[in-house]
Amino acid sequence: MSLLVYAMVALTVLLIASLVRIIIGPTIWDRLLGMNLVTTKIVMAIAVLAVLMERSFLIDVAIVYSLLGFIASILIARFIEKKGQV
Amino acid sequence: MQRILNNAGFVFLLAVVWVILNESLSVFMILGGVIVGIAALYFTNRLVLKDDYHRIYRVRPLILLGYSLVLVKEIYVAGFHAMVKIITRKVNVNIVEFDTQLKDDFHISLLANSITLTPGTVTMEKSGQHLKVIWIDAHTDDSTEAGREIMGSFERLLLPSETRLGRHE
Amino acid sequence: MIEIAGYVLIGIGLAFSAIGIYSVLFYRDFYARVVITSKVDTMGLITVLFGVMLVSGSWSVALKLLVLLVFDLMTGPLATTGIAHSAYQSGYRIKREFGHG
Repeated sequence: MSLLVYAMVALTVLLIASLVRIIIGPTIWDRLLGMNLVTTKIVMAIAVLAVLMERSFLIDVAIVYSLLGFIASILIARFIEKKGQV
Repeated sequence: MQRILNNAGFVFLLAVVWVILNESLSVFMILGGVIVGIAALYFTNRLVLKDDYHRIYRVRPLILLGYSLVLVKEIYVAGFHAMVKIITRKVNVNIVEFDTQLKDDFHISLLANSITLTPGTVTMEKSGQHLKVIWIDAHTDDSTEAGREIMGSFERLLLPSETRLGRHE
Repeated sequence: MIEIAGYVLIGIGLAFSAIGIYSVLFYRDFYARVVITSKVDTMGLITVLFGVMLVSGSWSVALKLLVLLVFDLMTGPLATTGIAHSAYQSGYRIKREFGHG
């Protein structure tokens, strides 16, 4: 059993803690911020998992996930900015 | 052909990324990387950008390399500083505005992104040379003082790249 | 030896992230949370990915992780700036941090 398993457990706990911000966030920008945090945590988790399982193609998944999360948060922020109050 | 030679740096960069992502170094892979890089540059140039790549993204590669090393160092130095402030809850969040001396649009964007990457400051708005920054430790309202403290080292590193490019025109 | 250094780096990075997420959950002012999130994203991600690079012990995986790190360093600040700009344009102003909460 590698030490990386404990890192995965810690990342899961941190991910659930960031989800709390999405649930309680009073405004939509707080929720976007929480989504940003969750994206970063998932990218870290996929990178750790790739080394743990010795499957290097999982890092490609992490790259695509990170770029998609960036496009999603930029697009939602722009959309709200143009629409005014939500 | 001339346009491919102009963009040789970008094609090389894309080929390197292609080889790294495929995890195999062979002549066939390098050739594939160059062809895919040229195709990607051609289509983005045609459909997305208003000008050529090498005219918009002009920066000295060596200066950029040294700059990124300084950036990582600066992230850690400022990070520990901000962490102490955050744990002891001695934060004083405020918005400061200042002007930068850089003129090239790409360099200003680079500077603004570096300010956001450094813990403790987030760029909020950029219009021309004017930057609006959220600062977690705002102990001064003075524009030049705040500008010197936030972006001093970055601006000093980026200025030579811009002036040397200006002379090439 | 290098592997142990990698595990230590991963632990330090996770500690950075934990401090950041604790602060994001318990600060009241939105702009303070924005600034803290940018810190978590950069410091935690850089440290954890360098640790994973050292643990993996192979050049191809380490270079791939470097590409991932560079992409994330380029896109992360843009997303943070987008969110802060959107909030400011829509009229969300700074709330003073009164007391401890």
